[in-house]
Amino acid sequence: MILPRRHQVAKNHKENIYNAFSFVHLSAFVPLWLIIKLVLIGFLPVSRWCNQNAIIADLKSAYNKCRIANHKQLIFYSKRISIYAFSIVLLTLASSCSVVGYKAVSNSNDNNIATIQIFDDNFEKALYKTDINIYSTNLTGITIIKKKDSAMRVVSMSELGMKYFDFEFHNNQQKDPVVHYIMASLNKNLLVNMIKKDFGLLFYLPKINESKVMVNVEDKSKILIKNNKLLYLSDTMGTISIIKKYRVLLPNKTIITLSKTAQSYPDTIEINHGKISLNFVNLK
Amino acid sequence: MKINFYFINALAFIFSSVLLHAQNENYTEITEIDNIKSKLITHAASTSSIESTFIQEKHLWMLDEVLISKGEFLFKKENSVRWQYNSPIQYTIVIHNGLFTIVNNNKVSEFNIDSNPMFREINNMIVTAIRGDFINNKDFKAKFFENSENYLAKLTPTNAQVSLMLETIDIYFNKQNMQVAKIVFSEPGDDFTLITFQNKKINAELLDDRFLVKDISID
Repeated sequence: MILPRRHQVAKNHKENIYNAFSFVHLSAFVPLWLIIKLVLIGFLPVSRWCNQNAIIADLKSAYNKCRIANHKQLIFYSKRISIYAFSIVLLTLASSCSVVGYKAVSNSNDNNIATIQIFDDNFEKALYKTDINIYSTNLTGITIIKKKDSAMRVVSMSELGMKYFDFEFHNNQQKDPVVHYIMASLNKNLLVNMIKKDFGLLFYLPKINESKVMVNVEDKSKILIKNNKLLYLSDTMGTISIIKKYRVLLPNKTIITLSKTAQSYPDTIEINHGKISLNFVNLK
Repeated sequence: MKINFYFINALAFIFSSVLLHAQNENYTEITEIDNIKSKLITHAASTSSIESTFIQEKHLWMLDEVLISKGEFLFKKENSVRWQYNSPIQYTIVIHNGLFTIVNNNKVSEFNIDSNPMFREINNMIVTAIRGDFINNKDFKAKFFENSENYLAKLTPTNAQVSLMLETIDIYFNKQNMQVAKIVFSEPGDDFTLITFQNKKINAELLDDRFLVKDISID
């Protein structure tokens, strides 16, 4: 008896809430709505116990209705409640984007970094030994990254001088990267977009005042979080060493690993997408 | 993809292997090619080994940049070849005793020429080219030019896929000794790779050991 009755109460309140929010379609209200719903479902039967007469009065009609209530519907609502609860956990986690060992600081905080950098303002050009793995295919050679005419140019080629690809990234981030050349056998959308996106991460850094900043409690290294999606790990001076992708309920995924000494560009660049990886080691 | 990659690189390397000098001016086309053909074949026949250093210049026109690589080239009849880069990176290709070996970053990759159709084809091309018989190569259309000092063989790829990467291959021969002085690989879009040969030793004794991977110095 209790279960069907609870179900009945829940259903009534579900309808009320539907009515109250029927005009609201903004996703921002969804978590709030779910919380209210769960609270009501949990507490209403308890509150009803306070009113013995109401319970007894309802019992007969409720019994009749519940007797014919579809048991499948009950299961359906139980499942729904589980999904709502899971959604709340997900939404809470997704919006928090916290990192163990780091604490958030405000952008105006003294702990903050003035600039972040990978290729700094003095950068002109760099030559890298290159190792590209695309599934079972291994391509090796040399890559030159050069600043030219308000743009960064990335040209990769084999040891024998055969070009693999030639991309241009304009300083103006709004302009799409230009593919000047890509070897026919490499000209796949997946790969082209990956190269554009990954080098875009290296050349177009997030603005500090538009990012969430976190400081390591021990070594004072920093993390910049861009749009709750990308994590830029930097040292205390603002030199980026790792770029990670934020993942809900999963460890953050490292996309780019960099190492740098005193020069104006990274010594090594490792771009890792599992079966596709690009590794660059500076040629002195 | 892998096959094309090796194929294109092999082309660069085959035509670098053809033998050895010149100036790029006032060339006129040669219509009667029998003479130059026989000269090439005669020279090839009399060449049993080559030892040379090379300088490879990759000209990136849009970047105003020239990337320079240096290395060594060895050839011994019938078809043992070693093409080794020493700077700025270490990278070696060896063809010897039916094996096609690539040494890169301490990693050795070996391919059996006979069991792999692609490497068999590459091997055939090398043998043909070294014999001076690339004029009849079906993969290229050849045109010949000359000036007072040199012959110039201008090869245009017939394969559409290759022509996307290579517009022409220009091989410059010294008229007096028929040795290859330089090779220019021109790509679509004005970029080109120039390979010049220096310190040539023709028909000096070359031991087979020089073509063994264990003898290739790896840093």
